Amino acid sequence: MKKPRVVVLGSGSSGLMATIKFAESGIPVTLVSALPSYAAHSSSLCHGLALPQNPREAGDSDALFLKDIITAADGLADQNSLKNLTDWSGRIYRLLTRLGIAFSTTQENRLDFRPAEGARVYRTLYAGFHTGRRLLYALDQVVRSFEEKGLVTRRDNLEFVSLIRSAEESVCGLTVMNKLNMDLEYIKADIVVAATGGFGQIFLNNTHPQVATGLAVSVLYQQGARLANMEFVQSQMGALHTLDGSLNVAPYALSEGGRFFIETGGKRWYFLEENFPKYRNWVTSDAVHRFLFDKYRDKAKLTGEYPLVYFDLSHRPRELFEGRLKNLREQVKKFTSHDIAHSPVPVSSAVTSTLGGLETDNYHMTNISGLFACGDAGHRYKGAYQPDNMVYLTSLYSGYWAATHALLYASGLNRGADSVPESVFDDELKRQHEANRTMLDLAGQEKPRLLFEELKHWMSDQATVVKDEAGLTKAADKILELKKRFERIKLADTGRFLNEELLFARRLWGALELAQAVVAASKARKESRGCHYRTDYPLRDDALFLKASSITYNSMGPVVEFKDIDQSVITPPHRAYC
Amino acid sequence: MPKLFIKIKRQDTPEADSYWEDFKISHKPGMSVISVLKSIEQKPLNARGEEVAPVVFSSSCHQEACGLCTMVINGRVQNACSVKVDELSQPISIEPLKKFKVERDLVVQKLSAIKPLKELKAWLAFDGTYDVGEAPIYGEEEASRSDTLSTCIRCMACLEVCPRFNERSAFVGAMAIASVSNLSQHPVGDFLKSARLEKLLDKGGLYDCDNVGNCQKACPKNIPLFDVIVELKKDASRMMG
Repeated sequence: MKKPRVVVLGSGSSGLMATIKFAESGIPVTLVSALPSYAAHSSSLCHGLALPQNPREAGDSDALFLKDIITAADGLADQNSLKNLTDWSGRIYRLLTRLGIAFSTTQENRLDFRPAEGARVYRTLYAGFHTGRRLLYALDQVVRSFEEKGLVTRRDNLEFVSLIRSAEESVCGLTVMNKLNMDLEYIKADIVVAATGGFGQIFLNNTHPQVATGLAVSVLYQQGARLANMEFVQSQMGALHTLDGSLNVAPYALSEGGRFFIETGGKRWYFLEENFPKYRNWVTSDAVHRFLFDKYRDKAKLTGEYPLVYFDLSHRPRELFEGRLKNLREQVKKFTSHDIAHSPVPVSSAVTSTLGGLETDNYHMTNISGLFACGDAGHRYKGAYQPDNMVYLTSLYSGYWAATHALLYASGLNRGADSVPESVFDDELKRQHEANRTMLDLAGQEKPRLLFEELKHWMSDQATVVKDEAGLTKAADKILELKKRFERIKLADTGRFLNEELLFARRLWGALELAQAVVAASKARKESRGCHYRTDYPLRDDALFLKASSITYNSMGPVVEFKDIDQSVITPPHRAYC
Repeated sequence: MPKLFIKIKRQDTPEADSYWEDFKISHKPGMSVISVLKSIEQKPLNARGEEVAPVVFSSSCHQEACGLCTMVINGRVQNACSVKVDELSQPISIEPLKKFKVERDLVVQKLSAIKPLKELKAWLAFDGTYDVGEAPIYGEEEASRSDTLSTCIRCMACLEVCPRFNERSAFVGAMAIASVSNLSQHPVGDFLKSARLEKLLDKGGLYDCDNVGNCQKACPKNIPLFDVIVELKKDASRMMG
């Protein structure tokens, strides 16, 4: 098929990259999104970009970079894929410079490579505090130029409802809901690329956008797309909590020499510098969580309001606070009233990344023909922990290659969505109209927003930094209870115009299903690895579990198996951050 | 527990009339206006204790990075997530932006303000994702200027307060002008620069700005929008000779 019909779901950095690749190949794209691009998750990220080309780091190389990332992933990396990704870091850097991103420079106006977690060498570039936003806006601009040429049609304010498949089970379209008037429509497609991001909002303290509940991923999972690695939920010890959410300023702050300490007996204990002399404040955050839990044996000390850990930048030269630290300082002051120029800030734990997602093969295709996944919506490249300087690489690389592979797939198609009988589309539309009607008519006593709060509390308590069999079992039971109570909800708004309560209820159902997958996979993985830490199985077990989890939807409960991963480059290293 | 008195200007559909609704919310230390709206979501009762549909509003990041939660609070246009209720006099009034079409309650249609970015060709000349090479590194001054202009989150506060940005005028607004200005100093020798400047000199562009300067005062990121526009006008005069 020469000109497949393409829909990209999600207009964040990964979806934009996929869109650009399709458009420059001459293939028209419909870019569907719930929110405008400028509000995507990247707009709030202060992460940097990894590039192993620091002339001052004589020992750095592509090989060391790959080894560091596989080590951070605690061995759980599909090595060949990850090697292809890390080999692309130079290319992505060059692309971003051409898109107008000004990376910070030294006094001689050369690239200033800074430190980041998970490495001993300085190999990370920052374009000021707002690298994520600059990258996002740059990609958004390129897509706009393609809109002008008629190659991209942007459809914002649409919520994904369901995938439509032909009799042969391959993709032929999707149904979407207009958020304004709640109208349902179907869009025919031969290729759907899911670039809908992560699902951090199913946890209590997280740094994700409000819509990041994983709704699209959840629906696709319920429709038969397998998930992978759902048990890996990454938290950062370095988040600032407000009543409305958590700010993750750690990546940028660490790059400028921030230090973690704990106050004990009136003295400052720089616990990372003391216990991890090789990596100091740049150990991966899961190692920080594990160290703190092993010492204090109290989950609440890590995740609660109790200020245990402090983050300090006040020792840095004053000029920095007028220069590179100015934006960070203003942001922290605005939201927490702390002034980092003069005092340390109390920090605690928040979920920053969900490493699981749609299971894809080496060609970014899920087990549903024609359905591809990229960025955080997929599981690929992230392993058991992903250092923050990898996020843009993963997003852009996977977006580009998902589009490339999708076109390869389409070239092998003889028939497409156009040959599917109209009744298939009409039937799905009718089904979803009924589902909406059912939800609007529910007349119970339960409040969806309160149910979601309960879910978040349970997931944070039992399925983030520290887990065990008993806790996971209780969480699994709780989710089943919440699912039953969901059937007795009543929407606080039953109108037909911009009904956020209906949208919310659908997201809640999606979250319950994903939560079940997270808990089931966490139970099945009887070992500890990366950000998955089980007190009842505290050691890494490569013999049984050097594999990715694979989760299939079943109405009786998620079915978890483990699948081999590629180990062809190096022997999976053990962490030696001390 | 102390209570906060909130008045919210509501509207059920784009065609319906607007009306004010009162709420009484329990105060918590550190509350922002977003916290207030979320509190109403959790317990949608008005001040008379009647069940109402929760107030609908846009928000995403809750850290003033996404530009979605801009609204008029006690008469000033601000991003709700960054406004602490303790700094506001009561009753706290919350209204949608006036320059954009209300869809429902506090949600407005902002895409009309993005359109000028297409008209102004607000993108860099781009050969494609092929690995054709690396762009030159920004000089320190350009990098610093670019950094300042890149803190824009597209909240559109500048458009809300601009007397020239409205339905009757074609003026593109400070946000689009600043965005274009950011692109035009890219060291790669941006080939669209003069095309953009030409558009800016056309109807709806630079000369529709009346030099009022409200934009700079309203910008939550302290971007010197007015200064940027003045500078561009000087550039344009030079270009025209």
